[in-house]
Amino acid sequence: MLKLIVFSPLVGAALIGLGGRRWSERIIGTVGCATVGLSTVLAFYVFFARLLPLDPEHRLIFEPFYNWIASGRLHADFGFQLDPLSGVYILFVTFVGFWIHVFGVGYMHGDSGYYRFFAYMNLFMFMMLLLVLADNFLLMFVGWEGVGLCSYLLIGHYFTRQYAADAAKKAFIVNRIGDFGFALGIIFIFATFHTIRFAEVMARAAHMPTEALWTMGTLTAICLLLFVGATGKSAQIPLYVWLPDAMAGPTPVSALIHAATMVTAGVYMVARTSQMYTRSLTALFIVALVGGLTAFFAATIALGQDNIKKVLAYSTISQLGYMFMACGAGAFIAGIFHVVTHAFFKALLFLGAGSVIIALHHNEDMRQMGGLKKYMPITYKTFIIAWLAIAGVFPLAGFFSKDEILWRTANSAVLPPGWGRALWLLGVITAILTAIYMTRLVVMTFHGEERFRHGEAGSAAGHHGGPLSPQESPRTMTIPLIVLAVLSVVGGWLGIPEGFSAGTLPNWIEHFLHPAIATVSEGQTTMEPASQGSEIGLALGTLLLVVAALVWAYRFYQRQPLWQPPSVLVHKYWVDEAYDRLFVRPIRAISTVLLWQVFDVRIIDGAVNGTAALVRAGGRALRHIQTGAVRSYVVMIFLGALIVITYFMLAGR
Amino acid sequence: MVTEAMWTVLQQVPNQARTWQGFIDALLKKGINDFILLSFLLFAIGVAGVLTRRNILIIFMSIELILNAANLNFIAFTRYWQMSGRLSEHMGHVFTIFIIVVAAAEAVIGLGIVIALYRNRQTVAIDEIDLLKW
Amino acid sequence: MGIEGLGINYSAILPEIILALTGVALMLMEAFWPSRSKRRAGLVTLAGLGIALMATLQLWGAPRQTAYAGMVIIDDFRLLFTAIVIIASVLAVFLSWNFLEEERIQPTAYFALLLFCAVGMALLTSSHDLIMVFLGIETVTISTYVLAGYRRNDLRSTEAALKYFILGAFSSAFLLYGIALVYGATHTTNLSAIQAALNQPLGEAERALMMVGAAMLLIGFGFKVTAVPFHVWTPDVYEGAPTPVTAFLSVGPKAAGFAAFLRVSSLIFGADFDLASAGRALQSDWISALAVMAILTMTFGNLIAIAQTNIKRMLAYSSIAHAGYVLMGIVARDWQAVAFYMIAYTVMNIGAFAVVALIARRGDEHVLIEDYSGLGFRQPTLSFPLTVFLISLTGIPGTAGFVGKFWLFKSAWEAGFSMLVIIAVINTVISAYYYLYVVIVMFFREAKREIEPVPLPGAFGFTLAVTVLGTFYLGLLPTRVFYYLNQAQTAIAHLIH
Repeated sequence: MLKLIVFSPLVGAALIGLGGRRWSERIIGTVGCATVGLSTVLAFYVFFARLLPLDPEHRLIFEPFYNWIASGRLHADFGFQLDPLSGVYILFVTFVGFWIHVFGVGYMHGDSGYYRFFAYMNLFMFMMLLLVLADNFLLMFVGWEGVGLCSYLLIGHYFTRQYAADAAKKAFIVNRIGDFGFALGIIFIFATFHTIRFAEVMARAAHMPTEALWTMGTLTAICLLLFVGATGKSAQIPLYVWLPDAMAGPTPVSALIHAATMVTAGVYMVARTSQMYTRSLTALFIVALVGGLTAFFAATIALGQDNIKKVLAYSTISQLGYMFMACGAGAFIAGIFHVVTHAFFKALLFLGAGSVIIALHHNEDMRQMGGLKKYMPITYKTFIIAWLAIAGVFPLAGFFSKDEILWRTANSAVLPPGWGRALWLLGVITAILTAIYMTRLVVMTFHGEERFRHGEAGSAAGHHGGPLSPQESPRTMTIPLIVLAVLSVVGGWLGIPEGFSAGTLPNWIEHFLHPAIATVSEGQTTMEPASQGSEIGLALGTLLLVVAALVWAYRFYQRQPLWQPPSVLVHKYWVDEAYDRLFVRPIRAISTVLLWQVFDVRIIDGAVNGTAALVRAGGRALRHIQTGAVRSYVVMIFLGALIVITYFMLAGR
Repeated sequence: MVTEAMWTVLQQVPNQARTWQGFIDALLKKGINDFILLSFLLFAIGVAGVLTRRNILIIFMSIELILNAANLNFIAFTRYWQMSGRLSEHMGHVFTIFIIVVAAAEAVIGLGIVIALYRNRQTVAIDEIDLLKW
Repeated sequence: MGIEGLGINYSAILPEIILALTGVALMLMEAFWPSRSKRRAGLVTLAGLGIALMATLQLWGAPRQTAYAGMVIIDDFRLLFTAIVIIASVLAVFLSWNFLEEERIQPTAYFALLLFCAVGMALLTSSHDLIMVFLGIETVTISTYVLAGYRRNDLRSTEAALKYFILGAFSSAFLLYGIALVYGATHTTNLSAIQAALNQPLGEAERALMMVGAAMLLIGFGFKVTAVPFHVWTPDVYEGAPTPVTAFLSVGPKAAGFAAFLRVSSLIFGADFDLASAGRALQSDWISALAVMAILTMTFGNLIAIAQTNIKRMLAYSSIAHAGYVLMGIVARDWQAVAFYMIAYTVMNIGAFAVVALIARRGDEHVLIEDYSGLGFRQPTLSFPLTVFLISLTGIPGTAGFVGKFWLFKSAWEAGFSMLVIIAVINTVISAYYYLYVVIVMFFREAKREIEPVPLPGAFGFTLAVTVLGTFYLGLLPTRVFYYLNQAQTAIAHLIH
């Protein structure tokens, strides 16, 4: 059954990839959506009919497929594992994925790469499900790299545009840096536990002692290495730079890969290895710190962006930061809960943005939008829901998950004293910033003066000529919007904190995920559990601040929609430029200039000239100083030989 | 073994000290070090030749010198051990034959390559051949 | 010692005999029934290689034994590597098919040389004596000198042959001199006997001879397997040689070289020596020298590859980098990892060079990476396989390259060389840059000038299909290969100890 869930999209990808060139758009769209749809239906069936009836403490289904690598002690199966954590993931991945596929049918209409788009999207679904359902680290790594590859292919979809190709390359390389950490982590895990199956690794890790803050034990090393991988995939400081550029891809790609699913893989990995993280206070602290800082930092940048998708991209980075902050505070379940609600409203935001972009003929600049609400009523209404959900307004999805994160962080038992409160404050400020930049987005796009008619010369809107009258998108695009809007409203009700209902309503998601995720064990707790009343108090306080920010921002941007924040925000703190100066250029320079030209040509030739001259000086006048390449090679071998022989002579003493 | 039998025969020959073989043996009686030194000198001359000469043919000859340095080692070691009573030592002699054959084959191929190169470029100077670089 | 003491055993070297006889038969055939048909020569070659492969496989599982007075050894390790080099030769035959036609080359001599090279490679894998190693290396290199210069009227091709020849002969001479010194130190050139001799204290003079001898062995092998700083010939020769020959050079002789290197390394320097023995000190020197060499090799290869504009040269530097990874396996003394990596590398590299050979066309004209722009969706039958190979060379999971690399890194880590592994992983990150660059050029760049599509001949189609399938097979279903490797492991276990 799990096999079918995973491989159904692959079959779709293969069919479309092989035959799609000659098929009509209708057939391609049907095959693409149907195979993903099949996965969705099966995922729901497996989840509700197989997993839920099991005893809560033993909700675990293994499904081996075949023996992948077996050599000595190393055993890696191509096998799948379904537990509450992966269960939650497959539900929203397939569900959101399916509706985004449906949206794509309308969005990509008329694109020359229609079949390519769907082949890669289906391949992506396959890889993502593989990542989530894998029962060992190595297979998860296959999915991990696979989603990266698909993301790379899809970012470069409009390959004729130079910036799309550059963005694709950037995404791939930055992710490779992260994968470096992940790969080392896996090797380290194998060396430590002699197995790479999740179940066994976690069982063995559970017997290891907790490593105190600022001690560098085995678990800390593993966790930090894995976290390097997570920062790459989930776009955290310092490896977040690829995600905003990844917006060069088609909007459904941004919605599916760069908002709802792939970028949350890092959170998934951290939650999956929670047994190890809870035993390393250092790693937890670093995760929380990176998450909190990223959340704040990205939110400030989002204030200064004019491209609608870039704003959403930085918003995604910021929300991912929230998730990591939760994980670092030991509240993995809150983090996963936010992953789910975020998938709903962020996908909705992106699809809404996509709908707007299509209506304006691929213009993404918010300065040339405005007043769209009367032209696109459905998009507008669903967008408003998403706006309120991400801002965290009661009782929409974002409210519950964000509140849970903030409350847990403030009361975290694993962070060093005082840091929980500090990160909580950072989280609240970020929540306010989120409310502001999202309001700015809504106002600039849907309200106020209609600026799209006098688009600047040379802009995308200008190419089509004639007056532009935006229209509501077709049904294939609006239905997914409506579905996701409903979920953005009710999604949060899965995890109503028990403090709110005084224990009458169970926090379903917490109870459900509890067996699959390690919680901070008793011995580690240094603080008394906070009273339930304080949770309501904090939540109300935050809500008040957020609503105030919404109202203020609404008024402010109604008056001056085009107000520019300080240029440091517009230029994203010049991080891209700094990276370029610091890393990209030097490496390229080292390669071309130093090693290739200077070293090979100058130093070696120089040494060659010197040595050759020396040797010749014994018998001949210095006549033929000019050396050819062959001779330089001979000399190089000779020098190498000299070094090796000297080494052996000296070391042998 | 054959060499063993030959050695016993040789030992029965009178006046062996007057032969060339006898001369070498007399030298070897003093010790192996002179031979190792000689072979090393040959090796060094060969390497120096490869490093300094521009004519490809002379470079070939220098490489042959290095091979012969190795040959000299093989022969000297074996003979030395035979003289010190380990009569079954014979590998070095056999290998020397192998190496000579290999060296001949290599020389043939090398000359073939030089001829092809000369046809294309009308030169056998090593430092004029640097089309492929970096 | 009677005649039986010589250990004459034809079945032990049956693959070599078959290969050599086929080569001779080809030349005789040309003398008595001249014909320019490449089909006839090619079929004979393929038949010879096929029979040799069968002879190899039929020996599988036979008890480990030596023959010819310990000169030749038969064990599963030898058979495995012999099979690898024969398969590499078969693929090379397919790759050469069109090249021979386009360049109007007399096919029999070309194929005969290929077969003689295969004889040398098979001998290298089976050698149990330093002299056999030397003879094997010479047989291989002498044939490949000629192959590299096969485009006789081309300046680059002849130059490649000359450089290869001078540097190859130079380094072989070092190797031979080293062998002579080792012989002087230990009274033998037999690998097991050397190990036994090293397992006790040596005199001062012998010790010095042995040290210098070991250093020279390292130089000779370093040259064969393109380890820095003895890699200098590689880029020039790979670039100048005809592309099918380059493809062959980068896998066949390299795999054979690694096989011999590995055997020497594990037999002479990998044994469990007694504390007071001469081997102990030598062992640690040897291993640390190898480790440094591995680091230099992969780092140099990868960094310089970034700057390349010619795809053959880029793949040459990439091949140097991969040699660095494999050296890690020798350092860790995990011959299974090395064997698997060589299989994987053979498959993906031959595949990559097949595409390069096709696109280069007659006279190797289109070999700049620039020439690949716009290839992506115009000729998916070429661009997609090439993408697969490059991805596999990068080491993305799901492909052969990933499983191979993971295994190598894992063994090195377990053997305690964690620094080496970290550097290697950083290197794979760097390597993504230049492999990916080709993919980007293919798919995301418009063609600079119009190049008419290349037809895909049957032989190439076959090679591409085999190599693409092989890349995925080894990446997704490597269990069977692992099984055979494990089976061979038990056979070789007592060889090392």
